[in-house]
Amino acid sequence: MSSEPANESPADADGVLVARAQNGDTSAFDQLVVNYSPRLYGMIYHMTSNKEDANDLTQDVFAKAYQSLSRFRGRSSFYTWIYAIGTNMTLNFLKKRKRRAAWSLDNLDSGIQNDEAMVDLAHAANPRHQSDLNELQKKLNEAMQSLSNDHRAVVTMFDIQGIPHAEISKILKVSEGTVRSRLFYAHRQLQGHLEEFIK
Amino acid sequence: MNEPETQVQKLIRLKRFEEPRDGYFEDFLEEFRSRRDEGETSKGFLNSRVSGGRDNGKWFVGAGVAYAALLVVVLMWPNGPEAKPDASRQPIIFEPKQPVRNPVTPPKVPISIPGP
Repeated sequence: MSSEPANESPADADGVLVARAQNGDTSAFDQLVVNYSPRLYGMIYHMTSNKEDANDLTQDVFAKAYQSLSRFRGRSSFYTWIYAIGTNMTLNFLKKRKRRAAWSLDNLDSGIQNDEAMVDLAHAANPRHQSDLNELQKKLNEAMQSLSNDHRAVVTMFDIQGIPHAEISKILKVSEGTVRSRLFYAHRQLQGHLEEFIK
Repeated sequence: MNEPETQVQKLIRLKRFEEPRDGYFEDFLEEFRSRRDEGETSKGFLNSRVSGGRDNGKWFVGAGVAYAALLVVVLMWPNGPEAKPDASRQPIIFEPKQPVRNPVTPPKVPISIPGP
């Protein structure tokens, strides 16, 4: 999953690819899939905490975007447009899945504990708990799942993916104030869940 | 933003390292291409991966119930197309001109009660 800021994506290059794709060039749309599938998958994965659901939903998002491409007029960037499709589809999916088990510990990514960057960052975040990455990852997932879907969406986009407030407000079609407010309450709730790793 | 919130954000940012296996996104593109190719021949590209199965299940159940209901209505309908009388095939019914007395009805005989 890319952690690059959203505004690093060249809108002009996207515009050219979109125009070609609208004229029937499937390879141009394939390039858009290559460019945006890691970020979209990341957003959906952190929202659903389920790899299979994230894969299927991301496929559905690109399918819908491909089908709807003729209606894309470029009033927003392609990035904002496809992220809005992805967020809406994911939030709708989560509403339907509300009563089902959202995730299980079996879905935890066991390889993450061997990731050097993860180990370094975990150490920087909290040296005392460096050795217990598995417990930390479990707690992080539990904390994320404790949030409402709307709060998890802003935490995913802002804290994990580094998308600016203004961009999130366009994607979610809410004011920047709402984005900041949701982040404030989400952080407060997360703090309660992760207290043992913060003190 | 106060210190604990910064710590929370640092911890949450660790989740960005939860990545799929190597080669996942190459496979993802291949999957997308084959879905699109299939969809362009069968017009089924928009069938949802996530909800498609469940929607199809609902559709089959609904269709089954509707068919059963239609069948019941057709079978039970008294003046349905199949129940419409065909004049040439009607049986001949002889109706008696005089009403038939009910043989079960006892004759009206005055009842005499013997005296003591």
